[in-house]
This record gives sequence, structure tokens and C-alpha cells, in this order.
Amino acid sequence: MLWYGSGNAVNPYWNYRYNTNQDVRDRFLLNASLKYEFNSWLNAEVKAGGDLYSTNTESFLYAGSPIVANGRYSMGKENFSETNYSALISARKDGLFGKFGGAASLGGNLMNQKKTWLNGSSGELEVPDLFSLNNGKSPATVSEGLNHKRINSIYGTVQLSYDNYWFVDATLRNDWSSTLSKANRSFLYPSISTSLVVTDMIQAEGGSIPAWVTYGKVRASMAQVGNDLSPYQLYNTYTIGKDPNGNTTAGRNSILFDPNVRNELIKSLEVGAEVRFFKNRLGLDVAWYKSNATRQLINIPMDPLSGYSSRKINAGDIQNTGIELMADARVIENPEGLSWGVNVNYSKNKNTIEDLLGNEITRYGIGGFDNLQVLAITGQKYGEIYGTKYRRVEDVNSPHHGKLILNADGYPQADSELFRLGNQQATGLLGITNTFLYKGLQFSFLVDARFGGQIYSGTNKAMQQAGNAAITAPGGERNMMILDGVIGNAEDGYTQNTKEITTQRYWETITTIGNLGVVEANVYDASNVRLRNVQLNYNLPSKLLTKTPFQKARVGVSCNNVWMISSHLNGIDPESVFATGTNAVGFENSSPPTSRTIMFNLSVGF
Amino acid sequence: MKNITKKLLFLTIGSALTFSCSNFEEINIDPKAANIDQVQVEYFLNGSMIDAQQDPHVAERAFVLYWKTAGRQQRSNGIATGIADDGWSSDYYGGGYMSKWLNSANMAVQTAKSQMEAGTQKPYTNNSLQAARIWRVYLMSELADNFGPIPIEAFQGVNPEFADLKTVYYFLLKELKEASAAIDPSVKVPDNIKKLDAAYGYDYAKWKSYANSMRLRLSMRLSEVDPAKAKEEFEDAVKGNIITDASTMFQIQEKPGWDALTGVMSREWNAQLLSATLNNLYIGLGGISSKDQLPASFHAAIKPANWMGLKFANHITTMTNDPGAGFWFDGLHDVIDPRAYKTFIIPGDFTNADFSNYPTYATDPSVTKRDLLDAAGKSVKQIEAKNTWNAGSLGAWGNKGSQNQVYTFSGTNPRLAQRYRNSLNKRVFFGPWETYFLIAEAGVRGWTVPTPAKEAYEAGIKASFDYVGGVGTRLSTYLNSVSYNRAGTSVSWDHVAEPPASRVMNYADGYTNAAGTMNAIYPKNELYKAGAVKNDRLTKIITQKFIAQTPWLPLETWSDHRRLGLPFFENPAVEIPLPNLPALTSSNYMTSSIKFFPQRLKYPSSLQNSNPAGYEKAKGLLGGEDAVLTPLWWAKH
Repeated sequence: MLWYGSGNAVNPYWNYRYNTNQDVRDRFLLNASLKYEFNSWLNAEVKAGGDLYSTNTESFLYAGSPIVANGRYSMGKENFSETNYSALISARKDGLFGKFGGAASLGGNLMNQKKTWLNGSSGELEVPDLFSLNNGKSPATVSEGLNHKRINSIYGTVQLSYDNYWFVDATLRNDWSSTLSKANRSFLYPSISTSLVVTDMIQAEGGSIPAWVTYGKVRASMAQVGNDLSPYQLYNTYTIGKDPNGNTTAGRNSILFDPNVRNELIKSLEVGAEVRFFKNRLGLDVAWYKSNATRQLINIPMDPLSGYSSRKINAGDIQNTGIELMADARVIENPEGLSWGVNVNYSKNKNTIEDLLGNEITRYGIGGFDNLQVLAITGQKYGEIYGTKYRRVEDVNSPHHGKLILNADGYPQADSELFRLGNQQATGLLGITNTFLYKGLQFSFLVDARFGGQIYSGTNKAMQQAGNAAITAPGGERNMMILDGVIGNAEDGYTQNTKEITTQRYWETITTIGNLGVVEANVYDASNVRLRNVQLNYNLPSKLLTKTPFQKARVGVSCNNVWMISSHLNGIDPESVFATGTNAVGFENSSPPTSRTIMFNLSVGF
Repeated sequence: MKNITKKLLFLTIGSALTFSCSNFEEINIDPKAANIDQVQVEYFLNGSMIDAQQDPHVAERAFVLYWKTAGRQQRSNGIATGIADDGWSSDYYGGGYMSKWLNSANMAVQTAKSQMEAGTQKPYTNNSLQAARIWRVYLMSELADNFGPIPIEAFQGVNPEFADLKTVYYFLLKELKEASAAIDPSVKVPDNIKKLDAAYGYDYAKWKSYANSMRLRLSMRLSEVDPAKAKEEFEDAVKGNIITDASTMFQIQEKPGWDALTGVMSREWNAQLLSATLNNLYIGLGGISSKDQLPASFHAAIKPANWMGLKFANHITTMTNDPGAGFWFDGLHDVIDPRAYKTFIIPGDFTNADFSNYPTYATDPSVTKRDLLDAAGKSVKQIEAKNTWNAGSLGAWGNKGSQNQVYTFSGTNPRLAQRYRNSLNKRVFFGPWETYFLIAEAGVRGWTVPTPAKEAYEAGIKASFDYVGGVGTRLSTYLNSVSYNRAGTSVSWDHVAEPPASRVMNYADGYTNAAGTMNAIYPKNELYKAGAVKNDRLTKIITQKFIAQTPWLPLETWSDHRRLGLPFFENPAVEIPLPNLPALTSSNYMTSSIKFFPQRLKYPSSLQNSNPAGYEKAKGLLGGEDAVLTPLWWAKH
């Protein structure tokens, strides 16, 4: 049973056989539609659809592990249904007025979504390995729930085109959601986009373009999207439950709801251009965008002594701006011999908190531990990293300015205040794919680079503390050290340090001040360059296949996360994070290494 | 054609009307959630009291790893060497635990008040309200004794403002006084409501006793910082009903399993080793020989009174002011407090029903032979720990620790009796002994109390003996004993003679068996009367209180030490420096200082962002850094 040593760790071989889960889902999808063509340009369609599924989950823990002596059993049932009824009237006509063409539609939708669930757990079993809810040492615990919401919508679209080189699309949608209060239930959101194929326009207007220009297009769009809430997130309610003795308890919910919250409204703006040259051998796509998530519905953490762990608010304005550049080139094109293609992607995104809740809330924590905090702060980029710094001589007039202030024994000290140490956002991302083709052989590799941004690495700290980080014994040597710092004295402030210390004690000191050591010591530049993916494929010559039932056959191998070419984290992948599902990507702490996958594939076509 | 268009349009519009928004309000009401008219005062209070028993997750963090360590009821480093874990503190403070317990207690208070305003109350609602107020005081005191400043006006759906500890304590004392006075014991309670009070079954007289005894505890907390208020509140509270016997104890039945009622000390991997602090109080105290306490099979292991043990200079630290430092005691002590063998079990005593076989998934508890190693990992000396009694000093043992397989191993050290670990006991929140020791302390301070200090002191010891049980009928021998323990304190109330500076003890070198003698000194506790006094009455009271409060009330033993510097807490060993106790060094480990002991927990780091204004205020009110070593208002400074 034991994994190793005398701890309470569970042997993974035991775990995979005796600590098991099972999920079964039955799903039905139903669709019906009726369409009537009034004439060549007008039609109407009525649709009804249903998506029904039920999920049964069970988990079994057998007796004999240190987890729970006699084993444990739990089960759950979930039913989901969503029905949609919609009607749409569409019209389309080219050559509406001269070279103008147009299309329009008007429709409505009724959505009804319902989910119910029931979960039970036996707790520790009385009779070992009898997996029944009523076989617990304590009465089974049961939880149940129900979610029900409806959205009614009306929407319309208008499309206009001119001579097949200029297009304008506009949409308008109004939703009524059951999850918002009567005053805020109805919300409207439009979009408009346009594109102009410049090359087609010039030609259509009788102009000519140089032969080396193949294609050119400019585009712009503006859109808004509204989102509602999940059900039951307006009014504060209470829970009634049972204590382990079977007596009644009551409690409050953990999120403070506000019945006056409104729908989210995400506004986005994009302009872009696409050009292609030399008979499509070189292409370039450029885009600039700005999106503002306004009134975003988020749970902002509260002091739990308020009665709630968080509150639901419409957060003011969270903005993303950036550019995306894409280029592709077929450098060598030779269908008989070697071909070489290059694809380059570059993007730069800046995520800023323009407003949370006025002056009332100007920051919240998105992750962190002890003296390390990853924060969202009004007016700053999302994901600011704060932590402790070494104590240093801050007085610019001091001859020792900038030097570490050591304690009497010659060890570094930390300031107790938290300082800004960086930001987790990358300033730019670059990806370059090279593809080579020779006869049936295809070889490609993708090099990814990330520029800028910082990350705190708890793994580096832990290894320094344990003494198994390379940096704790450079070149295998553990020489005594004298830190370049000063020690405070009563007379004239500071004297240069002369105390000799051991490497072991040095690393112990800087890693055990607070739970994460002196945070500054392990904040790293998260920039890195890696060979993300390598692929090799081979298409079997059709000659070989003539006597087989196959038309096509291909074998290949691909490898992901191949080689970290350059990184500052001493072997830790800057893409590791401390927990799954967190937004605090600037915090890594004993994360499992990012995995490398190798896939072999064979595909055949008949 | 146009007709069909019309029909379709009508169909569309018609169906839209049929499925209109008219029932949207209804749809968005969760049918499984309770509204404010459905929840009852007693439901909230029951939830609060049961949850506050601490499920194993938080019990391991708060009760075991923080309180038992800081309160020196087990040998462990962690918080005792200045390290508070942000994850543990966040869990304890957070919405899953303390904040939830307090939230429910506040909801009980609010619900009762609003029912009484609306005239919808039951005959017993007023009494339930008072019980909720009394319970809320306990929870607030628990929170405040861990962190320091806390809010008084809280749970209103807005981030609360923190109050200084003086305001908090004054509020708590006032609440206890008012709530106790407002209970009407003549009210009849239906049986289905009685079930909702796991402590007293809504026996109102007992709630009054608990309120008054709590008032004694909390007023005494102010003895050093605000003696006038402490005296005034204490003298008033002690006039009422108080907890003086087992039947009025505030205690709650534990249950096996994994929920809030599971024993707080039930995690098998926590070794629950005897601490050197407690061992120094036990050894020599009470004048009762181990021969009179143990079956004959143990007698051969009992060593003479002047035996110090085996000296292992390379394997046991001496860089601490622990009077037992440097020695392995290769047997049982001649004289020891009779509660020692009941509360902690001798290594190798496998047939004792109270011997803890935890962790059951490993053989450690049954292994009594372990080695002392050299730097290469080769055995230098094998130690047989069966029928021995040791408690290694806490702190950093450096190489002496890494080459010593014995000093923190579960099979080779006395560990807490299984009865406190098997989830079949009752967790004690207030025992009669505490009331008596508080009265005795008040008597020593010259406050007006109904029972003379000596009588209260002896009644406290008797209550503790009765609670531990099976310690025999040697109480009078014990009460008259003038035998000093290792901290230099005796039991007898009338015996206040100070111990000699040192005494001559025999020992043997553990490696060579060469016999030796040494002058064993009684440790100097500079925290109390500058280290000049080891055997005055207050020291006796707090010594006995510490022993009696083990193992259920470690937060109180931590608080008494913070308040008085009593009893003697040895310094953590500093074979290598402890980065989180920077003031403790290789040159001062023989002296005591508040800088060597944890004073509080750091607030959870999330508070800085979830309640920035509250946090800044709290930090200001602390009067120091938000750090483990910042003393609370009522503590020694």
C-alpha cells in the first residue's frame, strides 16, 4: 500500500485500481425545422431544438489506504435540458439598385435552460468496500440544486454589398434574460463591420494594379456583445442544512448579490488590412484592436468578516488593446523538388484595468501567497506582482546607496512592506513556423518566443532552501562568502560588511524569511524562446497504394514542447502556474513540469 | 402568399407572447434556498457551534499546528520559531471557517432581534439570543487572541472597520454581562430545540455559568495592561454562577468520521509529542514517585532522583535554556506529576489502552530502537527508548538533529494519550479548573473573591485530577509537596521558598559510559519578575493551570504566557540561527525575551486587497508591524 517511506502518501498503483471515478452521460439532441420559400428572395424558417442529457457520476475509494480507513463512496446525478424555438425571415437580392446587393433578416429566439442535480456521499464507510450511501459511519450527506433560466431574443441583420468589392454588415439584437431584474432584464447590442477589397475595386473601376500585387483588402468592425448572469445571483438567500448529528443548521451564502447589477457589455473595435504579393507567395495581415469589457460581472473578494467572501459587481472597464501581425511566405516553391514556407505571427496585447468600482474598489487580488501578491489595480496593467524586497540603503546621499543592509551576522534582511516587482503580462509573443516539403515528405517546426513580463518561481525558492539548486553550490563549490553589503552601526550609520557566512546559511536565510523567502530574490524575467513543435509527415506514394483499398495514406510523428532554447528560470518552464484555473500566471510554485508529448499518427483515406 | 407571410408572422409574434417574460421573476427565485423568514435563530447558532468544533482540515492548522505549538502543548517548531503559514491563517480566518462561524452567530443574533421587533418570536427566542451573544463572545475572543485587532461591527455586508483590542475586550465583557443578566432561566424549551445546543441542551443556568466564567477569563486577560478594569469586571462576574463542576463544563461531544465533529487532534500523522516545556513542569512536581504511579513492570526503569541521564554532546543540542538540554533520559523519572503518565504514554507501553498507534499506516509507534549517527550516516549508538521519558527541546538542532533519529520520532517519545485523539471524547472549551485557577490568581492579586486563593488553587488541582481520572487518591500528598520541578516550582501553596541556584546531578557520557556529575541549574525566566522568582504563588497557579489545560485549551496556555511570561518556556535551540526569530542568537539563548516567542498570527495576506482600509486600520491599531513577533495590547511588551 505504502508508496515510499513511512508517510501517508498513497501508492499510485493502488490509487489507479482502488480510488476510481466513473462518469456516464446519456445525451439526446433533437432538431426540427420548417422552411418556406416565398419566392426567390424571401424565405421564412421556424426551428425547434432540444439538447437533453443526464450525467451519473460515482466515485469509489476502497478500504486500506491512509486516506480513509474503511473507504468512501459518493455519487451524483445531473439532468440538463435546453430548448430553443426560433423563427427567422430572410431576404436576399443582388443587384438591388444598380451594383448594390442586399440581404436582411429578422428573427426571434426563445431559450429555456434547466439543470438539476443531486449528490450524495457516504463519508467513511461502516462496512468496508460496500459502496452504498447508507453504509456510512455517519448519515449520508446530500446536496441538491436547480438552475433555471430563460432568454428571449429578437435580432435582425442587414447586409449591403457594392459590386462585390465593398461589403457592409450590421446586426442588432435585443435579449430579455430571466436572470436580471425587471429594470435591467432587456439589453440591446449592435454591431457593424465593413470590408473593401481594394484590388478588386481598382480593377472594377478600370484601373490597373502592378503584377506583383495579388490582393489587398482593408477592414473595420465595431461590435458590442451583452451577457447576462447565471440564475439566482440577484437576491441574497440562506441555506438550511444538517450537522453531523443530524440536527438543523442555517447559514448565509458566501457571495453578496446586488439586485441592481446590469448585463455585461463588451465593446470591441478592430481595423485591419490584408495584402498578398507575388501570386500569393507573400502575404501580410495586420490588425489593431481595442476591446473594453464594461460592466463586467465579477466576484470581487471581500473581507469574510463582512459576512461574505466576495460580492458580485459590474466592474467598470477592463481594456485590451493590441496588434496582431501575420506574414506567410513560400520562399521556395518547387512541386517537383524542395519547397520551403515560412509563417510568422507576432502579437502584442496590453490588458489594463481602466476602472473597477470608482474609488470604492481600486484593486483586488487574483492570486498569491503570503508576501507575494498578484493584483489587478485600477490604472495599471492586469497582473501586477508585488512582494518583499531586500533591505537596502535607500538614502541617495549615502556612499552606500543601494547596498544591502545586513544583520549583525552578515545576512540579508527583508523589508516588511510590499513593493511592485513586475507584471505578469508579456509585452510580445512571436511564433515562427518553417515548413519544408520534398516529394511526399513534410517537415515543419515552430519556434515560439515570449518577450517581457515577470514571474515568481516558488520552485526555485524551494530548491534553494533545500540546497539542491545549482546556484547554491556554483561549480560544486560551497565556499564561504562575504556579502557586499553594510551593517548598521550606532555612530555613523553603516559600515562595510566583513562577516563571513556559509553558502548554506545564506540560502536558508533568504528563502525562509516569510513563507516564500525574500520575494524579490525569485522574481524572474519570464521571456523565453522554445521549440514548441516539430512535425514530420510522409505521404505514401500512390503507386504503392494501387493494390490496396486506400486512396491516400500518411504516416507522421509530431512532438510538442520540444526544447527550451532560452529561459531565465533555471529549468522551470515560465508557463507553469501554481494552480489550475488561475489568472495569476505570474506565480509558479512547485508546479508539475510542463509535459512533452510525442504523437505518432497514421491516416488513411478510402 | 401574403397570407402565409402574415400567418407566419402571427405565429412568431403569438409564440413570443405565450413565452413572454411574465414569469421571469419566479424563474429566478432559487426554490432550494431559504428566505429570512424560514431560517431560525437556533439553526444559525447550532451551525455556528458545531462548525466551530473544527473539521480536521482547519483543526490541524489552527488547533494543532498553531495553538498546540505556540501554547507549548506539543513539541513542534513552526509558529514557535516565528513562522506563520499564510495558507493556514487564511483558511482559519476565511469564509470557510472562523468567519463562517462568526457569521452564523451574528445571524442568530440578528434574526432573534428582528423576530423580536416584528413580534414573531417564540417564548425562548430571547434566551436563544443571549446564548448566541455569549457564544459570539467566545468566537470573537478566539479570533482576537490569534490576530489582534478585529471588527466589532461586522457581518453587515460591507467591509468592516477594525477596532483596537481594548475596545474589543470592553465590548466582549459588556456583552457577557448583559447577555448573562438577560437570560430568563424559567423559560421552558421544547425538546426539538434542546437538540440544537450541543453544549448545554439550552440549560439556561449553565449558559449563565459559562458567561460568567468567560468573563473571568477575559477580564483576567487585562490584568497587566488594564488592572482596574480587570478587577472591576472580575469581581462583578465572580459573584454570579460560574463553572465549578464537571456538569457545567462547556464541552462538545466529538464523533469519528470527517466533519466538524471529528476530533481536533485526530490526524494520525501529527505525532503530538510531549513538549520540553510541559516536561519541565511535570518532572519533580508533586512529590509522588513513579513507583506509586506505575505497575511493577516499570519499576526497574525508574532512575534515582539525582540522575540527569546520558550526555550525547554530538547529538543533543545544548544551545537552549531548556534545563534538560544535552541529555537523553534513559529511564523513567523518580518523581513526576501523576497526570503526566495519564496524558502522555511511555514509549513501548503497547498494552496501555491509551497508547496511540497513530499513524496506523506505518510502524513508527511500535519502533523503540533508533540510532544516533555519524556524519557518514553510520550508527554511533543505538538507543532503546522503551520505558524512557524524554521531550527534546524545540528549535534548530542543526547537524545534531540530522544525525539523531530519536528526538522527534514517534516510537521513542511520550505521545498524547489516544483518548484525546480517537474522536470519542468531548472537546472542552471551559473546565472548572480554569475557573478556580482564575479565582486563585485574582486572590493573589488582592481582588475580592468568594473563595480564598489557596482553597481555589487546591480546588483547581482537584478538578483537574478528577477530570484526568485514575490518578489515585494521592491528592493530599500532592498538595503538600515541596518537591521542585525542573522549572524550580513546587505544588504546596504555603511553600514559597525559592529553589537553590543549582543542584548536583549524576550523569554518564552516552558514548563512553564515563560517569560524571554536574550542577544542574534552574532556568532563569527573565519574563517574570526579572527571573528572580520561580516559586511564588502566581507561578504555582499558572504551572498548574498549564498542566490542567493540556490538551484541550492550548490557546489559553499561549495567552497566559503572552500575558505573564509564565510558566517557563524554554528558548528554541539555535544550533543554526532561526531566520524568523532574528533576535535569538548563539550569544543570548540562555535568557528569555518576548522576541523569542510568537505573539500572534499575521493577518491573511488576502486582507490587504479584500479590505484595504480595514487592513491599514488594523495594522495601525496593532502598534507594530503585522508580524508574528508583534505583541498584542494585553501581552507583555
